[in-house]
Amino acid sequence: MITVNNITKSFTKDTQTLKGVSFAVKEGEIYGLLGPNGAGKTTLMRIISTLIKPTSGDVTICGLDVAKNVLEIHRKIGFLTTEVKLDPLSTPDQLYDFFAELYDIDKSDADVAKEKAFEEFGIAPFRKKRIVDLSTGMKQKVSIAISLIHNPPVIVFDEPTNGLDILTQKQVTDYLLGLKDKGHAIILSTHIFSVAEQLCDRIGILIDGELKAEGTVDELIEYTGTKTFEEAFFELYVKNHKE
Amino acid sequence: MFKSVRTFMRRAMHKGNTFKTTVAQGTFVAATAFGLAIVCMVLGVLITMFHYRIDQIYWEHNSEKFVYDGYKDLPEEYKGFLFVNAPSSFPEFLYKNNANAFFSYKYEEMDAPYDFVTVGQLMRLHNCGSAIVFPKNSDELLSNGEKLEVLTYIRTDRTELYDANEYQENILKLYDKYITAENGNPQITIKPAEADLTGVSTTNPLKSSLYGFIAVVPLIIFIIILYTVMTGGTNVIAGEKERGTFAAIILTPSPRAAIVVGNVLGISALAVIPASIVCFLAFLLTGKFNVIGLVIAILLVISFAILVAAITILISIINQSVVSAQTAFLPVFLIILGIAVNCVQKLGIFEEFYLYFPLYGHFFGIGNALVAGYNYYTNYIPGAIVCIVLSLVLACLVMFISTKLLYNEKFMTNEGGLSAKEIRKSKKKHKSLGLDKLVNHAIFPVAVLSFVQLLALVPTAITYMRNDIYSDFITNLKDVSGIMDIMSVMSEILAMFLSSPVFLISMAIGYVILIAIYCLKVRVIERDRKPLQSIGFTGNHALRDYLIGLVVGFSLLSAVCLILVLAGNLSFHGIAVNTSTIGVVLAGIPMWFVQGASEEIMFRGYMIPRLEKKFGKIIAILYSSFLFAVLHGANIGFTWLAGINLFIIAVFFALIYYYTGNIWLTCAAHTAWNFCQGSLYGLEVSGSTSGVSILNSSYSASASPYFTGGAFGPEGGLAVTIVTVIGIVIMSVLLYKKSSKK
Repeated sequence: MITVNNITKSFTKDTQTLKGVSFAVKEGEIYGLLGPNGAGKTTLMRIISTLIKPTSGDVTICGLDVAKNVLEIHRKIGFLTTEVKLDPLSTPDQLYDFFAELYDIDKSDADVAKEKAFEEFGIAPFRKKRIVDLSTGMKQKVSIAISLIHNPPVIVFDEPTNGLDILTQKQVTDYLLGLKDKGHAIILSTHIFSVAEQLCDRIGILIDGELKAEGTVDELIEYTGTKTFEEAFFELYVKNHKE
Repeated sequence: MFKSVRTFMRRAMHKGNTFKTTVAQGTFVAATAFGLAIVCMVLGVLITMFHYRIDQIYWEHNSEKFVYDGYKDLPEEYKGFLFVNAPSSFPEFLYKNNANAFFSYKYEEMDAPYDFVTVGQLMRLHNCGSAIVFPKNSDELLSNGEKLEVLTYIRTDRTELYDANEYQENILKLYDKYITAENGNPQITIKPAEADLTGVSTTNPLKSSLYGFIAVVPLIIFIIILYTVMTGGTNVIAGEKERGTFAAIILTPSPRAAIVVGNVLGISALAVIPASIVCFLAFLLTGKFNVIGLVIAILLVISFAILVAAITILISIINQSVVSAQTAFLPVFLIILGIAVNCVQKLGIFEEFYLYFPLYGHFFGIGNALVAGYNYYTNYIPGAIVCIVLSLVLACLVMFISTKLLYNEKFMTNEGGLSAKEIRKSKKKHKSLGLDKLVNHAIFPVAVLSFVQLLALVPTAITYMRNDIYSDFITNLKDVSGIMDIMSVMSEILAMFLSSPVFLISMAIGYVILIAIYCLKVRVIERDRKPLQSIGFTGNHALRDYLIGLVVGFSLLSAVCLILVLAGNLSFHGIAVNTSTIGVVLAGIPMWFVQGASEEIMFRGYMIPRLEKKFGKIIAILYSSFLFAVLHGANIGFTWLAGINLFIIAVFFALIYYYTGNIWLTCAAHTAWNFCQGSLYGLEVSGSTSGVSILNSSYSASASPYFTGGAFGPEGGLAVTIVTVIGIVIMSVLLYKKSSKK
């Protein structure tokens, strides 16, 4: 469903943020991107979601080239990142309606979907409050609800559980598992091992803009010859990171 | 596509007009000032249209006087008499009465006797202080034995002419007697004068006032549109990038073109609504109800708003924050405003091809369409259509470029260029230099002062708008060829205002408001709320210090005058004040008190300790003095010498402030200085001519402006430099002694 093919990205002439990353994600699969800060996770996710263009390489989603079918791709992916914020002076209600209009969803359908989503995420109690007055967890719930407004087959979430308390974290992970069961393809970036272990079918370890290893948690542990997933990651990091 | 355009339009209209924290404070102050200015202008238009000073006189028998003593002392340019559309027997009458011996006179013909603009121009042309305007067909009316309605005009910029009305009336009475005696026909009776001769109002909208109309209305519309579009347009895309919410919009499948077009339409709608209301008011005011004209005017407004909005959205796309977008828009704002001013200047030498060009065409087109009922420029429609189409094509081009740019990752979110973090970092760096503090200390006094002075101008302006000089002012705008012309007209008006108790009292109230704003700032607005004394009102000997200050101010200025008198540059000729002008002098006293205090609070009491905390004493003194001098830079007659003088005067006052530790003494000295200069000795105070003073003074013909300061007053001359430098030396010695004692 998602194919990332030899992506490179340079923001300046001298440095390469991504150095030829390739992987693929199937339907009903959660793919985790794990890596230290500055490894290029967010850049890679932005390339997948068309916000920035790769220097070379291509990404296809549902058979469509991301670079060539920007608007089509937007209908097919739901993108969530901490950098994409919600208008602070609007309410969840207003934002949902606004984005429903932009995704060209029928007003009646959107209303039904809104009630359902607000119920699911527990947004209903604060739906009339302005975003600026909401807590981090509440905001994240609204962001997730809005990024999934068009029921996209592909979901790209950049650190979806960042800054959330354990309860909200569980709500989010449960919801993502539910989406996976419905056949969505999900790419997830995180640096929380427990989340990665629990959620991801396969994990790619991204270090210094390169995909150093890829596989299920067990495969990675086996590949590095360590006991836990955490140890496996550190092993890979020490081996590959250049000072 | 259309649905998304609509969505973005609605959002832009909603987001564009909300003031966010990101909108610079200065913008808000400017908005208030602009709002007030627009109110003043609208009032001006209303008043000139419906109620101006035309003294209407009916002829009357029983006249006695022909000679008017007031003319003797007038300067040449006011001595003449203008007679417009005079009946054929009038020259004969003047000749027989030997009028040559009393005044020079000129004859002119014109169509509309109410056309005060033309009369004003003719009066200036022929150096006439007053004019008598007869109806155009006066001979015919006379032979039919009908009553003549005669209008008299005087130039109101000379107080000596205020009695001229009586004189004009007397001439008319004599003439009445003359023609009655000549044809001995009792049927030519002219009804006696009405009890109230002045301020006859008319509800007849006049051609002449439309002149001001086609200058003022488009100007108001331009400012409304530019301002609304700037605040709205920079707040949508650049603002969204700054808040990090733009990426979410970019990620939706709505076409980029829809984002651009929707925002452009939304923002222009925001601007079109108030501008159309102005158009509609103007449409009502003309009284001709020319619907096609109104439609064309509104179409021009819409196309102009769309063009400006398209440019703003382009700027908004290129920039990453509201402030940077507004800064980038500023040149556009100034260029378009410059074109508008250029249009006002061109009104007199208007050529048709201007109607076809965007911006010029908008300005002239709006004005012409609104007054089209008067057949000013009948063929404005093709020009307007071409102008509308051209500007829409231009707008489309700009929107096309904007759309293309939105596909460039650099402009899509703020991450491509500066990240939000980096912006914040650079702001912090900025702060550590304290540049923003210096800028704030410069901007705040300017903003508050202009606000307060504008406020004070309103009641005075309303009182005076009925005067001819005001309409002259509008007329003269088209002849303005440079800054000096504007200055001279402004000084004329200011001089007129300064001799008005209304202005002096409202200025006094304005300065009280200024002081209140500073108190509010210290006590409520600033984060570290301080007691009110922190603006300099400390110390245990307030009254003693204040009295000393009055003496200091009086002696300093008296010393300056003494130097000027000794050098043979200045002479006094007795008392100038009389029973009719004493009121003005008295009204001036509270004004000088609060004026002195307010400037001391601004530049010494408030500014110096705050600057000192960050930059130290030396910079505090120098920078506050520099601002003091610069803020007087817009005054009439300002020269480099005046700037240097004001700077050293401010340094001198700052030293006094440091010596006493409070501003009681400097407040009093400032007040006494200005009072002596303006109200006592009758000299100019920093370029303001005081209308009335206690003593009558004049510069000798040989006086050098370098020494006397010329039009800026003594503060622009070397005499003040000498006195102030001596003062600085004395204060430095006193400060040195004080510090060595410690």
